[in-house]
Amino acid sequence: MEITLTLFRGLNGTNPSAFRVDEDGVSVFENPLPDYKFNLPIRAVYQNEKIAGVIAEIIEPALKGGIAEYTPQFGENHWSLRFPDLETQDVKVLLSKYAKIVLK
Amino acid sequence: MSDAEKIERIKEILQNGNSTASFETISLALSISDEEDRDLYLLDTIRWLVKNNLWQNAYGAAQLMSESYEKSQALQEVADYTASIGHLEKAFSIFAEAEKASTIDRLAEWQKAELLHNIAKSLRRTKAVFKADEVWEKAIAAAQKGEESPSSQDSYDSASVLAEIAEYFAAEERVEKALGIAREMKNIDRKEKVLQQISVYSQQVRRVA
Repeated sequence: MEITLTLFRGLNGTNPSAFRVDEDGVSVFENPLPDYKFNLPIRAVYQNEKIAGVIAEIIEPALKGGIAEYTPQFGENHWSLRFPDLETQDVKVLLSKYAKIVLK
Repeated sequence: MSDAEKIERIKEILQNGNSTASFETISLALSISDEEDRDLYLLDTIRWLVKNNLWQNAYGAAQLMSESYEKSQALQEVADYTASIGHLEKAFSIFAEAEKASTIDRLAEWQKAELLHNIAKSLRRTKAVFKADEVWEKAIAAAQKGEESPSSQDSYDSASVLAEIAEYFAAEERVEKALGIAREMKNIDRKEKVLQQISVYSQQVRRVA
């Protein structure tokens, strides 16, 4: 069974500096986050059961190649968004471009 | 000219233009009406100016930026370059401006910590060891404050910066310092990962010794 969900990144700006990228990827959550100027929506699909470690495919055309891993050990409803083919700075630039299209 | 047209012209100059177009580029970037885009393209312009050895113009442009993450980043990169060509006194004064710009209220604690960590690394490269450690203490304090944030995202991003700083110290063979930072971390999963990483670094150090 295919399940679609929307992940959110809370943002106070849309430049690349608004995204913290580390070896685990970018932190995104299943619910919009309060106290941010924007919540950037990112749609994804996964198969069957939502258990720790499950991988969802990002279905936003502008974020092709992205995947999200369910990582509740990092926080409630936490997913780690990754772009395996991209360097850290390229991930930031890609997400910033997407944020500017969606939010501005 | 619309913002989009200005951005296209800036990209064209940065890709193909020679440094005589520096004032045109600065002027175009400054005239972008969207504040975030203005800072972003001023930052790109400043990097291009530095690459073309026009650090005084780059410094002037950085001072015209709005109070933002990008301003601190731009000042740090100009200071880094200025130090690399031997203008140490000027470099330290620009590093101080970068540090000041990194602590503005509109930034999240993890962003402040990330900027301060980068400034400290630059200072370390210029052999300003004591000043670098002073800035690292501020970076660690900002990230620790951020880890206490009620926002899960800010808290996790702050833990991520703390981990990066701790691993940097471990890689620099300052294992005790690295352990001190890691042990104070609130995010248990992240803390365990960092402690494991520090252990790998210290084993490597022992093997070399």
